[in-house]
Amino acid sequence: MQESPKNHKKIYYRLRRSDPHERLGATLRHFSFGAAVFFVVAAAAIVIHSLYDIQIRDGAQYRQYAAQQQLLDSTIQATRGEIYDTSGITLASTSVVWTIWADPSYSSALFTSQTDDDTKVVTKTIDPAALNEVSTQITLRLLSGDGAALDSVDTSSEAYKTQYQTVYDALSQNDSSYQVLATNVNNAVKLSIEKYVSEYNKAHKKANAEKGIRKGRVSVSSTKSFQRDYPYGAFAASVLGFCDADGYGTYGLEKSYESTLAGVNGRTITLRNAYGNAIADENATTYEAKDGSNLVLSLDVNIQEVVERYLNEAIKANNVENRGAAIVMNVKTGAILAMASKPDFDPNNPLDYSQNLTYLDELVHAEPELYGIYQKDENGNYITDERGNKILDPEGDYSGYYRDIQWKNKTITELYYPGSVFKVITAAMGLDSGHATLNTTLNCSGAYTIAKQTYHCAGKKAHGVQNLAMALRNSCNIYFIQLGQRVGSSLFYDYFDAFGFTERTGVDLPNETNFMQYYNASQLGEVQLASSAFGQAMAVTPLQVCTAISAAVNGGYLVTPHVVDKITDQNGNVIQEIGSNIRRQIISESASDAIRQIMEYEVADGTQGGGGRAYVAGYRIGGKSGTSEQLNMDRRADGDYKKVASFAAVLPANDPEILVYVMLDDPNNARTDYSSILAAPVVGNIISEVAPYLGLATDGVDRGQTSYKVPNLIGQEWSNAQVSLNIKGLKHQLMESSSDQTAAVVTYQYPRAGAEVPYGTTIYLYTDTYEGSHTEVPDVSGKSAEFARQMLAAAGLNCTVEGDANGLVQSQSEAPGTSVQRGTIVTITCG
Amino acid sequence: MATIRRKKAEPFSILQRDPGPWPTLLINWMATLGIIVIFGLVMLFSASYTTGYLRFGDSLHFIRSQVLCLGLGVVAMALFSYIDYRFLRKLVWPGYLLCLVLLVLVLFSTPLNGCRRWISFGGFTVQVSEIAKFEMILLTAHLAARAPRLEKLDPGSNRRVPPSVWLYQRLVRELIVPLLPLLLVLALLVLEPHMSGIVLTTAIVGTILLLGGNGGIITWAGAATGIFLLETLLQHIDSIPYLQSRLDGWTQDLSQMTDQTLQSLYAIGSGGVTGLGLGNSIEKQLWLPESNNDFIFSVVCEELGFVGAVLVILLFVLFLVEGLWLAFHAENRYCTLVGIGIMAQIAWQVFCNIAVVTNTLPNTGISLPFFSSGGTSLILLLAEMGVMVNIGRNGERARLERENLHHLREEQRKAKTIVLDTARNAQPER
Repeated sequence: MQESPKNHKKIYYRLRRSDPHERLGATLRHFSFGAAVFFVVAAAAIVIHSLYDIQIRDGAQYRQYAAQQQLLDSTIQATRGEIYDTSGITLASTSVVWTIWADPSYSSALFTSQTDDDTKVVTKTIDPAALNEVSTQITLRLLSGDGAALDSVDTSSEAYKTQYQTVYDALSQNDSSYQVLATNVNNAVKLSIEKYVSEYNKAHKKANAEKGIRKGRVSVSSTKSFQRDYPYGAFAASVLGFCDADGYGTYGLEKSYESTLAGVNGRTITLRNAYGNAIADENATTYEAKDGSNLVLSLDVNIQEVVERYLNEAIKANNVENRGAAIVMNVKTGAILAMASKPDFDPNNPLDYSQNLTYLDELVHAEPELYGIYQKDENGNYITDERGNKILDPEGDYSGYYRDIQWKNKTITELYYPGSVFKVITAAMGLDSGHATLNTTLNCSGAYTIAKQTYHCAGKKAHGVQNLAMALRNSCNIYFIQLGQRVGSSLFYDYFDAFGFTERTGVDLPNETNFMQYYNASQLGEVQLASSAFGQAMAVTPLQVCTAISAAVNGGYLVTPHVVDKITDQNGNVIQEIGSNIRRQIISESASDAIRQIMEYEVADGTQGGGGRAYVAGYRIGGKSGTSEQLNMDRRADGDYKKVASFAAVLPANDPEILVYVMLDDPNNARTDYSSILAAPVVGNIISEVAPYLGLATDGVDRGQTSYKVPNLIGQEWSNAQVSLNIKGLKHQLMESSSDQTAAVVTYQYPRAGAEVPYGTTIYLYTDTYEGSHTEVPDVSGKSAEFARQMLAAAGLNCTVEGDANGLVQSQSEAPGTSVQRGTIVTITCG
Repeated sequence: MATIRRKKAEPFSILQRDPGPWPTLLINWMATLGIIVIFGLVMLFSASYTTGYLRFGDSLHFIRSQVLCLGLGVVAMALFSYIDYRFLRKLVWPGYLLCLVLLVLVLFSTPLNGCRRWISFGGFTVQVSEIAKFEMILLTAHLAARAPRLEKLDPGSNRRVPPSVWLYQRLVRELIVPLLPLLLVLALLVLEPHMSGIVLTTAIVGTILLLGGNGGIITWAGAATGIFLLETLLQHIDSIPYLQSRLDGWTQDLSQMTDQTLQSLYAIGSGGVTGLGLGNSIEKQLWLPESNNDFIFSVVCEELGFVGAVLVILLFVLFLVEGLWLAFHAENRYCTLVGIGIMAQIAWQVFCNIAVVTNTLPNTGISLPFFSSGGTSLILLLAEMGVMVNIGRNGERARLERENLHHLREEQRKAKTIVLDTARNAQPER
């Protein structure tokens, strides 16, 4: 059958429905399978090549980058060293405390969140009930003290309400991820809070409709920190200084011995996860922390307590406006036994000046030339009144000054004119240079003119012809002007420099002033020399005066003062002993001996003027008072210059061990400005307690069998009353009065005036009541005489011993248990 | 005139009692799968226990559900290996409808990170595009397999089919028609949006058509063009904001890189040649986001090093080649295409995943089969493996049947043939 080619063309192919049993064509099958295998292998090759590049070619680089983010370099905090006084009493220590903080944004139990479908904004609404519950529980634990005594917390107290509000407010900040709930929390409280939170989270892990529990969590964590504790509060504060919130020493010994106390922090380098937490890592490296060393001070808390007590009393009694300072120092070694600037601060809370606010407010207004804040116009220029004087800004913010003032160690940071105390130094210059001897006599006619400048002695007295010792006791300006002239400008400056007045003393305390105010040899003209000779031209620091006087009396050696005696490690082993450092010998032994004589002549037996009020019977005391006029300051309201009353005493006068120095800056005692009345009694009072405590050599006179008539002290000012007793060899005890009237006159005394009492009897003084307080007599029978004396003294009673003092007490004059007045003399019979 | 023979509908059952004998290759393939699954489970535990512990307070948080789903998956695999593939083929259109319904439903679900991809059934959350992928494999294989063929009446003739007819056949009948259902699915995926789902589904469908010979040279040319234009294509989808950020982070500059990719490179680089040792990854300590999921391969690289990573890749290569062999030796065209589709899905996911973690491709969010945590994905994958088993056994049965038929024919032929030598040798005796 023939078909046309056209027709044939049409049907040489056809569309065939696929056969379900048909396989792929053999060629296609082989080709596609080959292609598929090729693709798979090619893809594998591509990714293996990528992996080769990343893991082998660039592997080291990525490993390094990864290590940078994965390694956790955490600090192991070294424990800060402690500070002890000379007998090992802790003055500063460090304890571990915790900061409790929360992540409110993660604490889903405390809020309900709703997401807006359109804007995707999540709105969090606080859940007051849950917030209240959690806040209450945390607050109770914070205030419980030990985390357990939750029932004992007074929920109505102000402290509770404040703390609760703090916690509540912090936890409500549900956009924040870090809110501090409390700082300085002890370990027990911290553990208690952690336990509570974990239990709470366990209970709220799943929603429970029956119990009304919503699913959620509370995120509370704690961070370790250290707190510095100063157990005595505002005590030796300017010496100890304080640490800032980060634990770095900011002032005082804390600052000057920062590196010693701080130790060296350790490090741990370990792997961490992305939360920043360390993870198990066998290759972790740890460098242990080296704890800080301890400081053992030469400072003695007992002496410091005496010094601060009498200094505080004197500041209050004499209305001292610009603070007072006192130093007790070993003249041979430079070891400082007590150093105080009052009023000072509590190192536990150094920023708080509220305790001293009244005083400080008065201070800044009394000394505007130092601390004035003046009104300014909008351009920052000072506004002046019609006389061109700047006007004090009544709304000035003095808080910076307040803190600055209360922190400052007055003995090393502030300059003042030493006044007559400096005459000791001028005398030393004359004696050592050979321009004067003890017998050099010069005339004082009451006025002395140099280059049109006329000088007078205090009170415009004319002392007549006097030798060196008499001139010092009279504090004769004209004598010392002439002595200064004999020494001459050049030599005067050389001695001034040698005594250490032109440089820092080198005491181991920070912030010692580097600014000095003196005339050098070429600037020291006639007038300047004359003024300098009696201490009214060159400004010095109290500590410079102390080291210079020490040098003048200790044989001529200028020593470096120091507060730290030893540095010990954590086990108490001494690492470093800070001995005495003699910088140089300034004057000869013989000149020094002469100085000791004239200074003892000044104090004498307390019956003479001058330094007599610093006398304490039984001790040989040398001293010099100084009432200097602060010529560079504004005048007082009464038109006179502001004064500084200072007194330096050394004892025993024949071979001095210690120096006691007191200075009152800007005292405003209505009756007198004289240092011999203001500062000398403070020194005397300090010596009356410190000298027996230190067991200093007495004058060798046996007063044991002598009895003394108690003077009538009622009506006298307390300090004078004390002086009277010091001079007689009687002790005194000012009973703390509720009205704090330390400046007031004595209103009652016991034993009463006229009573015959033995040496060393304590007279109890009262300034606000007209009758004495009573005390119960202890039973001392069967005790040794000395122990009985101590027991009676502790009870506020005096004691005389009869019979064999080495035996035991057989009987006592006052029956045990009876109530008698404080100061009653109890006679004990021993045998 | 030739008429198109309408065959009677083939008989089928829902479950095959015995789909066929077990070919050695199928057993090897299943062994490879077993190794991969166990390997994946170990690596998932290693990669997830810190995240589980730190995020959920339970080290076993991820591995527990994964093991549970593995159990379900093995059951599903066994089940699907006995379901007659013909039955599955009958279900492709209802399945397609169901899939569309799900894809529409998912658009009304609560969005997660701005995308609506997950739908909840009781406790299970299912990513609908996973189901869509499976369905599209079956549907495309069905459509591609049933595309009518042009058949020369005279196989020996050299005459060529006219170009227009050839083009219509290749392009429309073989390519466009099987692709049409895909377009609707892609449109719904764009609405989610789900870029990795679109890319994967398209790639799988494309691979089925390519290796199945549909469209012939046109498909190959299209695929080649696609690869060459990949770079340009990526530049163009730059205008979609949600992809923009991901593409911006795709760079070789470490300081510009997205943190996830950077951490992935840190992890892979830290591994070096031999790795830090199993369980010792540091990046999995929350540094590497999704270390238990899309970025699990980085942890494999970090812990087992280059050696371990290449081993995993080679395991997958072996698995894929064996699987493809099974597919190409299946009973019929449909089975082959389904097999290609399933293997293509594994191949593309493995390749894209590893390429992403090694910063060879931009970050897309494709999980690593059998390794990444994700229950529904594992169950569906194992179900697909069940289909592969069914195909493999049916293919072996068909092969044996063919062989038997062949032997039979040979014997029949032999019986009919006069053996000349015998005949000749026999003559002298006569």
